[in-house]
Amino acid sequence: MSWRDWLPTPQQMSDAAQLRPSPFGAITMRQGMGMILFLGLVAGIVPLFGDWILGLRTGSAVPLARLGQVGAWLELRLASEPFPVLFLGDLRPWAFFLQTLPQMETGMPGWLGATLSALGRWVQRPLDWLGLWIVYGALVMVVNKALGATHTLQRFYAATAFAFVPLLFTGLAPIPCVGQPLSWLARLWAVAVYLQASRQVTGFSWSRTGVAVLLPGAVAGALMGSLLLGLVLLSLLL
Amino acid sequence: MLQPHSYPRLLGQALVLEPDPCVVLADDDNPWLEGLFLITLLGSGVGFSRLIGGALTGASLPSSEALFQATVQVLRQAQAAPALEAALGRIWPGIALFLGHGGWLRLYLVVATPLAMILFWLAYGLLAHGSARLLGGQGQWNATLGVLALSFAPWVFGLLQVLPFVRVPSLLLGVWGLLIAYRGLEVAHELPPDRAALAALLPMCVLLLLALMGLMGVLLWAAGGGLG
Repeated sequence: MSWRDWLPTPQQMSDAAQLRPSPFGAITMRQGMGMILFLGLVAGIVPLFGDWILGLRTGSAVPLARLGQVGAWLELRLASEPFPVLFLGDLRPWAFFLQTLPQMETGMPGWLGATLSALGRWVQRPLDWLGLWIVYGALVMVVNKALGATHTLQRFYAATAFAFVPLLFTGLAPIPCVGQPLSWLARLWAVAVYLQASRQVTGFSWSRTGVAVLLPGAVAGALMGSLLLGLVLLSLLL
Repeated sequence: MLQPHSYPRLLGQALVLEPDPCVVLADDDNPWLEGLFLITLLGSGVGFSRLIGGALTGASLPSSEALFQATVQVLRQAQAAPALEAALGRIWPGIALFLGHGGWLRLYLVVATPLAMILFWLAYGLLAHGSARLLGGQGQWNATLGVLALSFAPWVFGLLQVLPFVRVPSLLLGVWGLLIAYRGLEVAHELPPDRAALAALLPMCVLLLLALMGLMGVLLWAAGGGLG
């Protein structure tokens, strides 16, 4: 079994990113899965080094170092007066607490914790991408079927895997100034590729494709919003 | 009887929703035994990975006691809702276990992971077989269990949990498993796609409803002060 069984060619990836229709029917689900894992690992290289250096500098595991950064950020923005937030109380002690976390004693040398946790976070990215691909894809498939599509699961998943090609640029997010805008642009680009992939597989019009692809996201957003609202209301009662 | 060295190939094919591994397992001379062996092997591997990864996570974090004391202190300083401190005290053992603390107690993962997988396989298998037969399926109970064992294929990613701070999204395991179960029921029961989808979904809905009822029971019990 060669790498070609697990990955489409770079030319196919480039064509898909440019929204050309040809590669969407010429990929297998196995290649799609391999491509997502590969791209996820490649996109994670810059953040991996960023995380590792951050962990080494603070001498702690990366999640603790990140919490410390959040604490410092909060402290900078909070006024000297109490800043109560719902049931958590005044936020200022919380900001201090978060900053002390990386300094607390651990059972492992700081450099080792930093290295292992940076590796863990690197591996997490492709897993999250696979989750997004499978779970969101299943929801879109349900809408597609309801709208009368006749394609197979494998063909749909194979084609939509190309949507992760632009997400390669999300790995540049840690770069100051340009990283974040580039990362958001990549996400929008990925949605465009997903729409094109879905359209190529289903044969739907653009408007139908848009409904099928965006409806699950809208419903999920509404559910999350309701949940958040419920939590806020609950916290007001506490 | 299949050889264990053929499992990676079967699991790989199941992940990309190919019908071939379902056919192989359905036509095996003892599909349920094959499925049981496959799940036990996979579950034990994932359990060991979680044990090691959890221990590494715990070692890279402050001790459970120190974290608890610091959190209680900050809750008081911040004048947070008193209910929060009480709730934290009650759920802290669970949080500590989640953070990789718990010492020897974590060894339970090695046994609990495959055991939970086997129990879920049997419960889901029973319900799925019933719903498939109700929907006109022709497959045998033995073959149903065999093909449904393949729905645990996404758990191979759980082996990556040997690294600290790696978590395989539960939705990924659930939805991918459901898609493989759909393919398996389609093959084992020779059902048309829409009926196979229904046969795969119905048992999951029943199990989710039961789990939700159980969770609500636990929450009500906790709200009532538990055993105290």
